[in-house]
Amino acid sequence: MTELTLKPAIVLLVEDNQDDIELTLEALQDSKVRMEIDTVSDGMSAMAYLRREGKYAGKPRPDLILLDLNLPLMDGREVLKEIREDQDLTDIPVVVLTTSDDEGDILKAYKLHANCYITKPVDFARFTEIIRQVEGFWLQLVKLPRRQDDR
Amino acid sequence: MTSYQWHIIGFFTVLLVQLLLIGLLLAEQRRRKRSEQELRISNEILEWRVADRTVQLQENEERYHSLFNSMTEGFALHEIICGADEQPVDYRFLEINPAFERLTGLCRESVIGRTVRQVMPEIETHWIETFGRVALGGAPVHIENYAAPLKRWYGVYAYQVAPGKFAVLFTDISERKKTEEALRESEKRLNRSQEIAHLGSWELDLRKNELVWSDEVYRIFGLMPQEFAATYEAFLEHVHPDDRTAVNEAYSDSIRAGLDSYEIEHRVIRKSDGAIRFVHEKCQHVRDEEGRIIRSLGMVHDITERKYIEDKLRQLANFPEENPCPVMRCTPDGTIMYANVSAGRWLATLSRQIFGSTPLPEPVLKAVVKASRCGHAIDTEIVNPAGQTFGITAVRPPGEAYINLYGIDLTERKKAREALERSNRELEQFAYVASHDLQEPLRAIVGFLQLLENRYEDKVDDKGKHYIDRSVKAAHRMQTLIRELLTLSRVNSKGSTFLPTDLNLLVQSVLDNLQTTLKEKNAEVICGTLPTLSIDENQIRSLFQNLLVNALRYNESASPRVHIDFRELDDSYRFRVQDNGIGISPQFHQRIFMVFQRLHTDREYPGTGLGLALCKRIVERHGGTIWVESNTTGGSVFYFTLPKNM
Repeated sequence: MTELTLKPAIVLLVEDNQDDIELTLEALQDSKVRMEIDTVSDGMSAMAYLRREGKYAGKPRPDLILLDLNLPLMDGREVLKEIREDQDLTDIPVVVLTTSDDEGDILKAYKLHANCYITKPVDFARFTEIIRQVEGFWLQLVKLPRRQDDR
Repeated sequence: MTSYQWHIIGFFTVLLVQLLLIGLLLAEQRRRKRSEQELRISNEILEWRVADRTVQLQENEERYHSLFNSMTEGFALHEIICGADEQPVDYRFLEINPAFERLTGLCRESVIGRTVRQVMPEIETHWIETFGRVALGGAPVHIENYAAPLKRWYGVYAYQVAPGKFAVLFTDISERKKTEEALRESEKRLNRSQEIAHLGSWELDLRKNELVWSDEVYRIFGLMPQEFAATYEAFLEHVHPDDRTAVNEAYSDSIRAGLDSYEIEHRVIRKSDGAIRFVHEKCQHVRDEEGRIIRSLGMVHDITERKYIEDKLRQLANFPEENPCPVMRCTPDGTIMYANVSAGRWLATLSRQIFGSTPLPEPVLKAVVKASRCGHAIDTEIVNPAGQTFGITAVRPPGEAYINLYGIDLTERKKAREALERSNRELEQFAYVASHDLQEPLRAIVGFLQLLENRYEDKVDDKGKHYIDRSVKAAHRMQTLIRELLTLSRVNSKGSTFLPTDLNLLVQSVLDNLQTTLKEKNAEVICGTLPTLSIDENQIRSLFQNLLVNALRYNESASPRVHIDFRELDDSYRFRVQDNGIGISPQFHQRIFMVFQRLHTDREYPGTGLGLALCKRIVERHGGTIWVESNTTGGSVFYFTLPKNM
């Protein structure tokens, strides 16, 4: 994709915890993949971003969403549900990236058609490695639908 | 005196004698003539008399013969036959009349001239003995007896005709005897019936002031039947003192008031054992033509057993009534047949919910209909307007058309259940928060420390790096603790359903996991063949994992050995995990299964103090028990049981 478009991949990080945001960004920092990372810290903002509402009117359509589950205002499960119910958004891959290893959370996420579910490890080196694998897989290895809104 | 004189005297004497003789002869001649005449007359008279007498006798004989032949009584003339000791042994029939034939069924030809033993060899000897006494002694007898050979009863009059001869005059009394016997039987039956029914009867003749009790009345009063003549006073004496006045008044009042009958229940004290018996008395008065009561007929019925049963029945009938929970019975269409007080109160609280003709609320009615169709109990819950929750179980007893309804106030239980559910939810919430929110800052700590170490490697000296390392390790340990606590808290709430699992495969997968550790420690695990059991696979895997890790961890042997096997018990399997490790002092055998109870510092042997607590909780969730047998010299043996049926 990158070779064809030469455009950076757009990644939307939906995460409320500032520490996690920073650590995730750190882990993504040394990526070989060219990408732009946007961050929103609650579910409502995530939906507004995706639907380009309000202050997000000029925002691009992301290639990948990294979604935490426990979010203020509207939690990750609801965000996931709305994305999958929205014709315009349903094809965007969503990687659930969360602290929870709760069986219920895992099952629920897949039922709501998350593309994959990842529990964040405590160890930073391990976390960095996982992030590498995620971008390698979702932004390099797999073929995704062509972006409709080329700008 | 001279001889002449003597001659003259002699002459005259002879003459005199001659003269005397002649005179005597003449007199004799005359007398003979007279006698002959008299004899002739006498003979004539005699002949006349004989002729007359013969006519008389002929007439008599004809008369007697006719009587003899026509009399209805049997008549027979016999002669007694005695044995060597002159005791009567037999008797011979000399003459019988036609009635004899009729009354005995024996014919004249077979009887006359023969003895009774010839005619009836089986004749009872008492007949011969009795008749022997009559024939030889002369005193007549009148007897009534049974003659077995003839199968009849006879009333017999026997009298002596001549020494050694006797006549009998007899009638057949079999019918009368039969009637008498029947009467006796009937009385006996009545007596027996009264005894069986415990129903005695009495009769009071007011004119003669005579009271008669049947045998059963005596028995009811604990007396010997007909022990003494019945009196009204004797009766009152047996009546329970507390009932005496009432009983006495019942009788006298009925007479005074001119009633035809009365009845009363009262107690009597049985004389034989002092037991209190309940009787039912019923009396009827009999009046003469002028309407005066002349007799009272009564019955005494011992109803103690009935009273006892009635009492038991009453208690049984009160049983549902005394139930503090609602108990009802209704027809399959919901019409209430019975409701106890509690059910009445409960129904009253539902008054605003009553629909249709039945006061049963809709959900209960549905349960009734369902229960009447199927054989098992149907439960339903219903909340009344006051907010009380009642559980109602509807069940149709086998073979009955009605439905029984059993209610129970579940209000408190429901509150408790809701509180428990709330508490469980909160606990879940807490566990979730612990797994998620407690780990987030931990991850941040570790993450930034590691970033610090990597990005500022040249700015941090070795001591600083050591601190960072210690902090990261502490955070990791904290994470392990959080995880294990979570696992522990989830054993019951988040367990999976039990499925048949091959424990051989399960243990093998644990061993595969431990491959590296086994190699590092030069350890060997010897596992016998294990059964397939219905279990929560993840939890039992965790159980084996923990036990094996412990067996290897707390082990200083150069070649640690662990044996796993099991033994089948009555209703469970007992598993054994045996090691050659450092062992555990018996004083700690309980403590090791408690949360955070460690016997060693983390430096000696790493661990969280949660492993065995988790094992215990897992085994207990499966309905088993876990224990250890060990000392500090010979390794440890951990046992746990898993029931066969879960």
